Amino acid sequence: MKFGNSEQEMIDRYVWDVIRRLPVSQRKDIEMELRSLIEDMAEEEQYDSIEDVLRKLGKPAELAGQYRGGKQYIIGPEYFEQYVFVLKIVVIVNLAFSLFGTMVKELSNMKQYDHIVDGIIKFCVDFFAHAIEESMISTFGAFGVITFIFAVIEYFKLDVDIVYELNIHVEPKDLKKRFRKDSKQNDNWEPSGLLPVPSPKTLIKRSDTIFEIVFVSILCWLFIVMPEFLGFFGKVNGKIKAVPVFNLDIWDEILPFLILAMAMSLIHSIVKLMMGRYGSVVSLSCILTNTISFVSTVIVFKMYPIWNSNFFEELEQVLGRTITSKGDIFYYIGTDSATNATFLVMFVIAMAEIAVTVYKGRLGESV
Amino acid sequence: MKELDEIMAALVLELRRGTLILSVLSQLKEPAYGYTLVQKLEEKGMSIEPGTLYPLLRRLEKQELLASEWETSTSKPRKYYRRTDFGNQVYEKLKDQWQRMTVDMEQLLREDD
Repeated sequence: MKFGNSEQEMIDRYVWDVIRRLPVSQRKDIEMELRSLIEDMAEEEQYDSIEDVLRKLGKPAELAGQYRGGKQYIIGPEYFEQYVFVLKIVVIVNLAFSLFGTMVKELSNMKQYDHIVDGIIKFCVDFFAHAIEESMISTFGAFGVITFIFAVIEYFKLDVDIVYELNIHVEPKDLKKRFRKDSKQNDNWEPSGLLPVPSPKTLIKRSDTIFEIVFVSILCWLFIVMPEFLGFFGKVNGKIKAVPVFNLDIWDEILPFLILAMAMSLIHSIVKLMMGRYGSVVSLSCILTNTISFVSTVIVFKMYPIWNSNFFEELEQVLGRTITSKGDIFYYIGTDSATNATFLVMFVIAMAEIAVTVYKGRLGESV
Repeated sequence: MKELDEIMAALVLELRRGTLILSVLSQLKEPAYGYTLVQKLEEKGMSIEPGTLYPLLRRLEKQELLASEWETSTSKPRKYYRRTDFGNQVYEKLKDQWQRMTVDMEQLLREDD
């Protein structure tokens, strides 16, 4: 059967539109097959025209899809869970950092204002504007990068199991089994590889972590915006006067260290929020962040005259009495004893947190 | 009612999809080319879209259940498919499965009456 020119043209276009979507190696064969099929169908009485035949065969893209077999995904069901998991972590961490970063930046700009109210208004406006901008850009960026990475993983069907790898809640002997697992075939799934159900003791309460984040954020805010209020208050000549504990003259140099220490705590909170339960990752994060925090604090307390040198005079003014007795707690503020006491308290708290975290983490792993 | 029709269409499609491979294998003891298969199956009440059948034939060939050969001596080149030995084995087993399944299904459905 011979087709007219316009019919032939239409068939050519249709066939091309199908095969161009297929691997080059299969094109020739499928083209021949399709052409003979279209001819066969065209001979049938039920089809009035070539258009009818092609309509019956359906959209070229769909037909090509059938030839490719199965559904086409950018990120298929095999990887989707991991994709969402990674996306959540990265987007949340990213958001936290861009918000935190913007906040720090804007707060440092706030000092230019003499009047605290002006400063706060300016801060709020700038913060929201820049926070939205920053977080939009970084979130979409992160989204794109992760999607791209997973698209590559999907395309090459790489053997990746991030969720499994991150939940390192497996006993050492199971660890060997994990490495032995056939990397090519995920079908070799073994029930023995299932992760233990976490005991309630090893779960991290979300509300606690969020409370920590809020607390640290407020503390951070205080340190940045109103360090002069970190101290004691009293009335002098009927006016409220604050006596800062810290040396505000070099506050700009001190602040970055203190913010670093607090940022570490924030990072640890985020890690806890993400993992949801104690384990190796949380333990590691706890040790690392606490160490950095502690070192950063030691540096700032040892290298800088951190305490307010006029503290006693100002305090005596406020209290309306002199501080001479060693039995007076105020006597020790700003001295080496205060520095050492601060270290001691920090150290004990950090060690306690690490001990509890590691203990609970091990508890989680030995279930 | 539209909803019922839609759901029914989807479910029937799902049911048919499971029987497709068995139907196709059953018709390919002797070599046949794609379009005769469409017609044959349609005659016997198992209509299948050419756009579904042709890719399916290729997949079965890739799985080595079918073998193909181009017949180019006639005016129209045609690709003939037939079951391989391996295809025969699979077909027999699949047929067994189907027969057992239909018996079980019958039982299940009768219980419900």
